[in-house]
Amino acid sequence: MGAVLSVAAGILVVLGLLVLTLAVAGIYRMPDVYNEIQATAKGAALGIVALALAAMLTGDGPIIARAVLIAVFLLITAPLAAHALVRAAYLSDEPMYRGEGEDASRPGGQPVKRPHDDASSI
Amino acid sequence: MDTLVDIALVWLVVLLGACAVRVVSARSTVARILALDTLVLVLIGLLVLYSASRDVSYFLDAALILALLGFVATLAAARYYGRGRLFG
Repeated sequence: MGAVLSVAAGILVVLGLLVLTLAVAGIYRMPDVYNEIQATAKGAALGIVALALAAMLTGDGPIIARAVLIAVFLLITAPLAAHALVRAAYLSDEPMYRGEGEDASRPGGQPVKRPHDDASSI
Repeated sequence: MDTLVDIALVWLVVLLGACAVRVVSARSTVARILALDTLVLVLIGLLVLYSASRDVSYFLDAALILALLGFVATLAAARYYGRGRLFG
């Protein structure tokens, strides 16, 4: 039983690290602020939830209680923080990424025109 | 298991450094707030993992407080930057 729990905790730690790494990579690789927010808002919270699950597998009472609190709190507040950030970005006219090159699915190769396209773009 | 946790702690510190670099080099204010938020979240993960590996619960108290403060700080900064005021 102890070995199984140890292996499960190791798998959860690796999973959490992978997701957290993807979240931080999203900050660097995504083309505009909106994409960065949607990459990190999900990744960071879910990575920490995986790490908290690994902490719960230690079986220690106080650690389990606090890890559950942290996981639940993050699952509730991460979307709220992401929404506030996206709203701030939109209200302060952050530029939106419109893609590069031609749109192969359009006859003339022109990108699709969308309502906010007259705003400045990257 | 101990080796895995040690490698994981070092890797989380590397992620923390990457977030700190991004806070300095961000293109806009919203990207900077986002990088700070992510930095706080990675720090929470570091505290959770350290606490579980040492079998003590004190660091989880710090992680919980950091989660509360980080959320309120991100919300306040985002609302202030987006609308120019905090309330109303």
